[in-house]
Parts: sequence; C-alpha cells; structure tokens
Amino acid sequence: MYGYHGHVLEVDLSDGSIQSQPLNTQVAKDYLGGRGLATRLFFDTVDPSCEPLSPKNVLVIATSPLIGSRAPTGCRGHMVFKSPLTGMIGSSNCGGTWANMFKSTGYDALVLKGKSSEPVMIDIGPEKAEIVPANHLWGLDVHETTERLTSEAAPGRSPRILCIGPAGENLVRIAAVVNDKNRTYGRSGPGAVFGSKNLKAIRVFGNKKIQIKDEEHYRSGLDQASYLLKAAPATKRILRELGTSGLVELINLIDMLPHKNFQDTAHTDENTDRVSGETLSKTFLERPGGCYGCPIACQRHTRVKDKKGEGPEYETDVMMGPNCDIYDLEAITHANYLCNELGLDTISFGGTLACAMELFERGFISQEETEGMELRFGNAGILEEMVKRVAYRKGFGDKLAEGSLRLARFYQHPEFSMTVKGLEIPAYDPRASFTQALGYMTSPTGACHLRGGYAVSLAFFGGTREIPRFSLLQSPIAIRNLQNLGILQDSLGVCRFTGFAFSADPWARIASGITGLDFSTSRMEEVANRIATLERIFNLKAGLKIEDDTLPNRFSKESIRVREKEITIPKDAIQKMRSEYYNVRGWDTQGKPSKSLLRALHLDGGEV
Amino acid sequence: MKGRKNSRSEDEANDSVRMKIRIKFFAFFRELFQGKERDIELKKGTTVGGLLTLLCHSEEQRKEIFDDNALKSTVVVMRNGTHVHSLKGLKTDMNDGDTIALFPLIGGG
Ligand code: SF4
Repeated sequence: MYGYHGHVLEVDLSDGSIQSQPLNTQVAKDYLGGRGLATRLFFDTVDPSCEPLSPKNVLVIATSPLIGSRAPTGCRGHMVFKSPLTGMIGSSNCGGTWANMFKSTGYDALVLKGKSSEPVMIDIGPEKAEIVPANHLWGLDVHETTERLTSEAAPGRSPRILCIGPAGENLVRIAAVVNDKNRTYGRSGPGAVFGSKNLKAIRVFGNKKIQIKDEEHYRSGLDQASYLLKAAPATKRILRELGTSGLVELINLIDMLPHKNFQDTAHTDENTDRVSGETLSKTFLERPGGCYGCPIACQRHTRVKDKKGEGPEYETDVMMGPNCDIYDLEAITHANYLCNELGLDTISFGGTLACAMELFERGFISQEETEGMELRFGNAGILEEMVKRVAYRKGFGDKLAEGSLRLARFYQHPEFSMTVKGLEIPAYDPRASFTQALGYMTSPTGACHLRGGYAVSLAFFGGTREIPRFSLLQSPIAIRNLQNLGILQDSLGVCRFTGFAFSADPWARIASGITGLDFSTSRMEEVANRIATLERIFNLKAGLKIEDDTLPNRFSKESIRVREKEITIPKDAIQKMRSEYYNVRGWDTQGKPSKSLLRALHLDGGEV
Repeated sequence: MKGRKNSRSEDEANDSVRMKIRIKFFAFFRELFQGKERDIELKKGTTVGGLLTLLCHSEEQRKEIFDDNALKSTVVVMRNGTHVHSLKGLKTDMNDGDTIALFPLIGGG
C-alpha cells in the first residue's frame, strides 16, 4: 500500500498479547485515516454499552497516509474511545511529534484493549513491540515521565513519549494524554481511559518510511498548499506572532467571550487587554514553536519568572481566565503549566472550576466543604491549588475531578453545568452565534468546537464572508459543512488552522498523490459523511437520545447583549435547527440515519 | 459615550456637523498604525472608506488596507462589532460615538 504501512498493532493489556493485523484496503479507502480509521477500528472492536473505565473499553490511536510525508502540519494523531465524561464516543486530536514517530515504527494504527493488572508502558521499536512494567513511573508527572523514558532509551535513539500524569492515574474524568510534554489529547477524558487500563505511557521509535505513488500529483498539492499558507495572514504570520490567544480581543468585540461560567459576555477593555495574545507576546512569550512539519508555528513557548513551559492557548486563557472572572495572565499561565504536567484538559478544568465557583457563590457549596478555600469568581490565587487538588483528587478536588455535570448534579443543580452531553463548552458563547450553538449541540463528543464545527474562527474570520450569526435556516447547512471539513482534517492528520488558508482542494491532490487512491474532494465528502454517520450510530447504540442534542437551559433563559440587543436561543429555535440539521444529514426526525443513507454510505446493517 | 460640554457657541455649531469615532487596532495593525486605539473627529457623513483613507498616511499602510480602491480581502473592519461586509462595505456610514475595529484576518482557538 502507498501512504499506509498496511499494519494495525493490536495490544491486549489483559492477557499481554500483541498482534499485527493487516489493514483492510477497503477500510482505508472508506475511512482515509486518523479520526475515520480510528472510529472504524474502534466501532469494530468495542461493545458500545461498555462502562468507559472498565477493561472492556477500547482506545484506538490512528495516523493517516499524510503522516510521514511532507504535507504541511501532517503530524497529527487521533484517539477514539468511549468517553468517561460523556458515555458517548470520545474523540481527540493532537499535534506534536509522537504520531509521526509512531507511524515510522511501521504501523498505521494502534488498538488498545483490556486492562493490565500492574502499571505498564508499551515500547514500540522498529524490531518489536512489547509491554513493559512501569511501576517505577507510576506517580510521576508528564514531564518527569517523558524525561525518564527518553533518557532510558537505547543509545542513539531519540524516542517520542506519549503518557499520562497523575490525573489520568487517578481516573480524573477530564484527564488528558500528552506528547512532547505539553501537546495534549485533551478532550473527552482519554487520560482516564489510559489510567483505567494501568497504561502509563507509549514510547515509540522507528525509521520506516512511506512509499509515494504519484510524486507529481502529490507535489502539485504541496505547492498549492504552501502557496496558500503563505498568502493568508493568519497562517503566514498572525498565529506565529500572537498565538491562538490573538482571538481574545476579537471574540470580545463580537460579544462572544464567556464570563463567569457563561453568565454574560461583558468585560472591560482593560481586562481583556490583560489576557490578550498581544499582551502575551509582549510579556511571557520567549519564542513561537511548531508541531512536526508545521510552517504556521502557533505554539507559545513562554516563561514566567524562572519557570518555562507552553501556553496559554486561547481556550485555556479564556476558560481559566475570563470565564472564571480572572484576568491575571501570570496565574493563568502557571495553572496551564501545571495542567500540562499533571495531565488535565484545560478547557474542561476551566469549565468545571467556573461551575464550582458559581455553586459556591450561590451558596450551594459551603466554605467548610472547600476546606476554607474561597471559591469565588476572580480569585486567581486558587487556580494552581485547584489544579493540584483535582489531579490528585485531594479533598474537595475529588468532586471537580468528575467534571462539571457530575459536580453540579451532586449539589442538585445541574443547570449550572455548562456542558453538552457532559463535555464542557469551550470559550465561545453559543448565544453569540447560532451556527456555533448548533455545532455544540450536534457534535458527537459533546460541546467541542473542533468536533462540532469550527464555526467562529473559520467562517467568521477565516473566510471573507460572515456566516449569518443568527440564521436558523443557514446554520444547519453551514455547520454540517464545517463539521465535514473538520472530519476530513482530523482524518488527514492535518491541523485545523490550515483551514484559515484553504479547505479541501490541496488535500485531495496530496492524499490522492500519496496513496494512488481516489480521494477527490467529492469522494472525501462521502468519506466525511460516512464517518459522521458511523459516529452517530455508535452514540445511538451507546444510548444517545434526541434530547441530548441540546444546550443548557441558561442559553434559552438568560440573555447576553450582542450588538446592543438582548439575545437568547429560544427552545423552539433549538428544535428547529436540530431537526433541519438531521434532515441535512439524512437522518430521520429522531436523529437516526435513514436506511437509504446507510446503503449509500456502505454502512448496511448499521440500523439502530 | 458622554458628549463634551462646550461653552463657546461656534463649537456647539461645530458639534452638529462633526462626529467622534473611536478606532481600535489589533494584531500587527498596532505596529502599522502605532497604537492600540485612537479617537478621531470627523465630518458627519464620512464613510468607513473615508476614515480608512484618512488613516493611511504611508504607502505601507495603504498597501495593507487597500487593494486598488477596494478593501483588501484579508482585512476585517467592524463597526460596533459588525463586519462591514454585512453592512455597506467601505460605503458604510458612521454615527457619533461609533467604534471601528480594524484587524487582519485572524485565526486561532
Ligand atoms: S498550527 Fe499550531 S497546533 Fe497546528 S500544527 Fe502548527 S504548531 Fe501545531
């Protein structure tokens, strides 16, 4: 096979067996790679009704045919599993260097099953893959684990490490899996799934290269991509200069920047300036950096006093900052460093903390329960301590470790959890864009801007034309298209941010050139629809109901001011957009894929 | 935004034909226009296009904002949080107290 190695590594941690399985060519054609391939392999292996933290859960990591090529940003791995936070499909994508090195071990994907009785790691080299005891690593943070495993590698080898920190070990439901010390598979709680399997780390080192079928076609795609990346300001210079936090001011300007657990979107100009990308670049930024093969280089390598680290990104900055009424960039950056070290998803952490702050201020959580801690909005002093308490499930942190929905339910006020399907809403207020709202509602993983359709930044800033923000009619089609583009990027193993320069065209040439398979834009559209439908089938089998495709009541009941008008998303608007979205997807009124759609997508037998 | 109080009658007369606009610059436009924001008094009836022409003193500035006489496709101009593309583009009018935000097409998240 061209572009692929043609092998899938299957590891059963219960019985310690390791097998190489052939990659089915038809599966590659139908699902491309990354998110698509991982979803298919996951679906074929897992029981959808399994308990996410039990040995029955399966976690798949897949690469794409572009990994190992010179495709810009073609470095990203994708994880699929059943989420311990949502009980639905968990799906998380990440850059860095690990996925590229994993692919060069000669495998396209890794399927992890079962549970080890002792802490272990998996060591994958060019000659063999083995399960190795990791008792000595248990308890170490992400940075320590990475350094230890790197230094213990055979001489002359520079392996890459993917691992969890204490949060994952402690089955914190918002725990991340991290590579390169600071690049995280954050959303949906994959760290807890690693922890539940007693799996601490996966070390990879390889030297196998992929074969390219049609060099000329591939190169024409590369040239087109690199020309367009240099032509668009975002990919040419802005992401490098400002990082993703460059969005803070603009999202504030369009009244979309969440405040105090999404109670409103009102901030003073002085406050947003304190946490803006412009300010970060002038203060803590040491240098920008890039994931493997990335010319955009949005990473923030920062230093605060004597401590160095990465971040904050836009989401982290806002969720741990303004959404908690905190505008202290130093405190946010420190807490970000700690989340990376202990292995926590910064978005869900920020969302859960904001929820706890609101419950505290409303008197539902007492100071006695927080062991004297003032859990008030604006209290930047507690950020770091709360990260530690959550990661170690210490005292009151144990409740936050369950995520905001379980926390709010515990106090019998689930209405203060700003989640969809149990996943914390990221840093764009849905009331300020109905398109984004619909994306949160229909994302297979719960409220995620990356799986749900990147409405705000792609359509609003990345395009020259603004998607009507409050159109009930256009939002369903717009979000379907954005979701499909996201599915393709995740399945091609490339970064969302290339979308600021171009959508599918150069990728079609690159993917077809590499593999010699037909990945024209129209074929890729079909692939995206197939993946979206398979994710839906899994969720329905796992118990998803139509009522789960919705938003927290706050957004229908409490208004925010957008362009001098008071805006809510009325319940009937939610229903209207939802049914039109189902219609656009070819799903029935209950959100179930129709028989004819299943047939057209070669998903026969997928009826639920 | 509070209006200024003037005792002199000619200023008052002036106020009826002038308007105060706040301009905010983001990303590398801060270096290009040397500042974060600026308050500027203009004749009533000045359009967004007129304002941008007034702002661009150097060839470098003009090159970043205009493509011939049209707004460059990589520039976003907002009047009170609304993209001027959804209004009347460069012909969009302004009222006393309006805020105009100027930034290059940006990304992230
Ligand atoms: S744009 Fe940023 S996140 Fe994306 S691949 Fe490049 S450095 Fe990584």
